[in-house]
Amino acid sequence: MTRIQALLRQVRQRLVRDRALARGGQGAALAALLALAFELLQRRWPVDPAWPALVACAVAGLGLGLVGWLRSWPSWEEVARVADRRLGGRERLTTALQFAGEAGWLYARQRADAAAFADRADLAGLGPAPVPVRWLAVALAAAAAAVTLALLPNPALQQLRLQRSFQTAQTQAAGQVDALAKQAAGQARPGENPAQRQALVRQLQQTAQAVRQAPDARSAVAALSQAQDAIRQLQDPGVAEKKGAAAAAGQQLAQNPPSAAAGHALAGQDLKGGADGLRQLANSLPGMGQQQRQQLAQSLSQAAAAAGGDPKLQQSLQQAADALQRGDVRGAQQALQQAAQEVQATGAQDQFQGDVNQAINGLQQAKQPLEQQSQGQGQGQGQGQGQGQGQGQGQGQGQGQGQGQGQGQGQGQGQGQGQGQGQGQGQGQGQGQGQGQGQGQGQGQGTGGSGAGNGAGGSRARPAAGTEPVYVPGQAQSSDQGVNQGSGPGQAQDLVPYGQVLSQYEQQAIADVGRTDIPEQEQQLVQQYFSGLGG
Amino acid sequence: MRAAELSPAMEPERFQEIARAIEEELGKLIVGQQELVRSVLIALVAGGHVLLEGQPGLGKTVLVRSLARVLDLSFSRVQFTPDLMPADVTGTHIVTEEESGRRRFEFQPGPIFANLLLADEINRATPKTQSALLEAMQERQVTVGERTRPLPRPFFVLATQNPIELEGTYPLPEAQLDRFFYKLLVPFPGPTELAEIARRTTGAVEAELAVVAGAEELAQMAALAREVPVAEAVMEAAVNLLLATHPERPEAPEEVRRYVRWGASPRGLQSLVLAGRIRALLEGRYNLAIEDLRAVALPALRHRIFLNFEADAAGVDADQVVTAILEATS
Repeated sequence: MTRIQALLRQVRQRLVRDRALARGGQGAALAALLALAFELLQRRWPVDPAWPALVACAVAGLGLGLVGWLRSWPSWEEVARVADRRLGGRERLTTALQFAGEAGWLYARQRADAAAFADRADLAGLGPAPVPVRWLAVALAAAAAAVTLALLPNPALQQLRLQRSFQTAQTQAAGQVDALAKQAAGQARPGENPAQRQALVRQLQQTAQAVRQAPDARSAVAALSQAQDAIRQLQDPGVAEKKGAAAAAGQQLAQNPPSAAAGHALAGQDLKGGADGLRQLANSLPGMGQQQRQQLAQSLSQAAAAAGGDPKLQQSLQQAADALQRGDVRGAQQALQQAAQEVQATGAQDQFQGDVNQAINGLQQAKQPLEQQSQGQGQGQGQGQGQGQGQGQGQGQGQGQGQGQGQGQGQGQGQGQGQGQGQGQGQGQGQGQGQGQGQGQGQGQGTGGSGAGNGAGGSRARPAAGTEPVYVPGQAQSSDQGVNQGSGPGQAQDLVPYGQVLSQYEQQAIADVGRTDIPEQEQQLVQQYFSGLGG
Repeated sequence: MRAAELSPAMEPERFQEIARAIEEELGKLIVGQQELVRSVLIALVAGGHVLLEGQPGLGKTVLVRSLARVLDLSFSRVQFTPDLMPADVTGTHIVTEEESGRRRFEFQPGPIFANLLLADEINRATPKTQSALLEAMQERQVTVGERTRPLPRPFFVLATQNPIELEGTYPLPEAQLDRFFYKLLVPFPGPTELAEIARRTTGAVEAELAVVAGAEELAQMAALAREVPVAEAVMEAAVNLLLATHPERPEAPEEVRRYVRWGASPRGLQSLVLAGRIRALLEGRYNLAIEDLRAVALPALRHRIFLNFEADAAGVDADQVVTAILEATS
């Protein structure tokens, strides 16, 4: 049996190798087919990232091949049958193996015959190793198809990525707005209007909720823009004037030694210090001499004259001056206390305005990633629909004819209809160039602007030459769901020449950024911008 | 431990030697027909009966008579005709007179009491006579009157039937056909063989046949053949081969499903395996191979497969069906 077993070992080795080749080919084909199926499914139900699934396909295919190979591990009986069949053993080996333990003389004779056959058997009779050409061809074809599908653009996958990116930006933006709301709630100060503070906090909280529930980036941006708009309603332009009045009054008071402390504080726009100084001044009145009181009355009168920007402060200071001149120290004390309260209120209002501006800026920062998302969505849609519709956001973009939707701030140019949401500080100017069917492309700058559209509009626009007057909307119109109708280049309806509005825009812009909460460097940037425009 | 394990009934080499000698001796008279001679020899060693089918004048009778001579066996021949009675085959009691003048019934054995019986044109006898013969073939004994008499050992029947001139014949029923170990077709000789037949049979010198073995050797050969080991895989192949003849079996090829009415009986499997064992020894091997099964499949199965009317209409015979089975199970 030794010789028979030696032959069978060789045959089994060969058989195992052949089956490994076959199962390997089948496993590769299965893996490639799974990958192809996955890529096909990706077109309908995208998965991102795809590589773990592709790796799983490969592992599954090759794993099944491996399992199949192990399951097909040949027994000695099978090896004997294969050897008999391929080497022409006529079941000598099979019979000898089965009756290896039999003691009959004919069995012994049979084993000897089988051993003699094993000695003369030529393993070349097993033939060449069978390459699984068919399975390999299937594997290659499927793999090529899968790679082709993977390389081709997948709209569903792009949409998924956009959606995920939007969700990330959405969560981040909602978190930022939440943080703003908490910050605003924790900054309540005495002297300010609690209703306004509450309105600010409530608006921020509602905005965070709206951003979370927004179905897409555009809706989220719209919610943020609406919030900015609503919060801007809380801005009080009179506060700056009151501050100016207090400073002017302070300069007058600083010239008189008893009121110098309060005057210096007011002149330095330290309104809290100014209020305290006024109170201290009121307390010190009974200890003053007549001459000091007269001099103080004169200073207060001059300060009242300088505080024209704040009627209440002016009135209180004047009342104090009058009372001192009459010798009514008590009346003067009461008037100075009123002035101190007014100054304190102005300080609280000023700080509240700072909080409002901070909230607006915070909303703007939260909006930027979402605006980028919205642009991405717009590009995708525009590609898909050709000349039909387009959407976009960004600075100074405008489109030509047709219908357009835009969010944010800025100006859209072109013919047709456009929908815009948002408002704000965006100002821009642009020059449209009509081409072909009148699609215009605007260029402009501003803090966000969007507009989109094409296609459905009617008339052809004339190309705008460099020397032609360029028209822009006389006033940016935007609302939550407003319709902005404008004419494109070459049509002056409802528009004013660019040169006539530039200075107005410049003044407005400089006034808007001329606040204490906006760094000076940023203010200069706006000024430089308009200087560059030739305004 | 069996006796066969201690000492062989016959050495395989002796088995082959006797078989070769028989074939050589028969070859002196039988021109060509080596395959037919080999098949008849296998059936004799297996102890089975053979149904020979072929046209008249192809040497069937000569073959059987020569076999009897070579093996030193008693031989008798019965020409089956419609008026042949069972007693004409089995024997009967006749009245004999002793020297004393006393008369008594004495059994007169029929031609069946021989080692080798040639039943010529068996399909021309009536079913009653056929049945008497076939019963004796199966039981290897004859009952006449109240007494049962065993037939001599060995006992072989080689029946012939003519595939032509079927007018007035009584085709053997399926159950009777199944009792034949082999059904052999005697092919018509080719030109070379015909010329050699003419030379041998018309010359002045007649071939002398020598006795090369006897009944004892034949029994030893049969015993040795039954010792040949059969692997499970080979037995499984034999079973699958037989099952493939049954149209209702999943192993059956399309030809079987379409043309076969009844498949082979278990006797077919016995014939396959035993004939295959003998063939293996004749081929110098000591184990049954699938190749042996395939080689003996036609004579062992062709008369055990019963075709339907569609086969008759399509001109499909049993050999075509068996060949289709062999191709399907290769």
